[in-house]
Amino acid sequence: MAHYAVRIAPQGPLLVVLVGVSAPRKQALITAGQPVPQPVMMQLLIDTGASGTAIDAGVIGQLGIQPTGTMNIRTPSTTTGTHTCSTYDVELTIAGPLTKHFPAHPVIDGVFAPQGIHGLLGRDILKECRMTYGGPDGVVFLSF
Amino acid sequence: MAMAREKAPDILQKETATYQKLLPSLLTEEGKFALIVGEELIGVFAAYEDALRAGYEKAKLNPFLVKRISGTEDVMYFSRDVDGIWPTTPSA
Repeated sequence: MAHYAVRIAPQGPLLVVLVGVSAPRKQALITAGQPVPQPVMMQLLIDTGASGTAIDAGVIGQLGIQPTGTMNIRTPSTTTGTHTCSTYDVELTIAGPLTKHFPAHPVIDGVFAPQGIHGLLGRDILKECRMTYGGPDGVVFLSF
Repeated sequence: MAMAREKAPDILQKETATYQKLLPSLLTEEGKFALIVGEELIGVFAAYEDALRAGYEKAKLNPFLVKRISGTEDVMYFSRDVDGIWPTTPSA
């Protein structure tokens, strides 16, 4: 079992995650003789208010990923309706003494830099772990 | 109100239309993942990663769609705005 202690920053608990192209895309790039982009280290806000995971659009562009899906989303700004957005397949790696690896996971993109974060780690990932919010200690504990 | 980014081209428009057209016949496989390239249903897979792998094998680095089959469109909920991620028009 992999355990992580995540400091609660002013923005919230920020988990360091390596984001790269998905394992199937990596294989396709290798087969096509194209370079595989290096994974990007990101600080994702652990967000129980997000049912999915969202990554900064700049990183999606940096990784050269094209959409492989669509998803309807609902946010405070969508008011009574939903919006359809693209989803991208990525590989997520949570580094630590034991590494937790998601080789192919769908995410949406967004603009997060103004919020001082690189994206949101949503319940699609959190459902895989036990989480304890240690408010008095300023730390969140995750166990996958 | 959040400022929306410029819309990205909807490169999966054809695949999405194909999925919508085929959806009634796909509902017997609800919960699985459909793989569509252009106007062709390539297959239905139990796992997202399996559909993705088959997609890259079939389409290489060209567009393809992996979609979870559902009679009611799946929705992701975000309690904060994710600032202008709308590449297509409002769906509802």
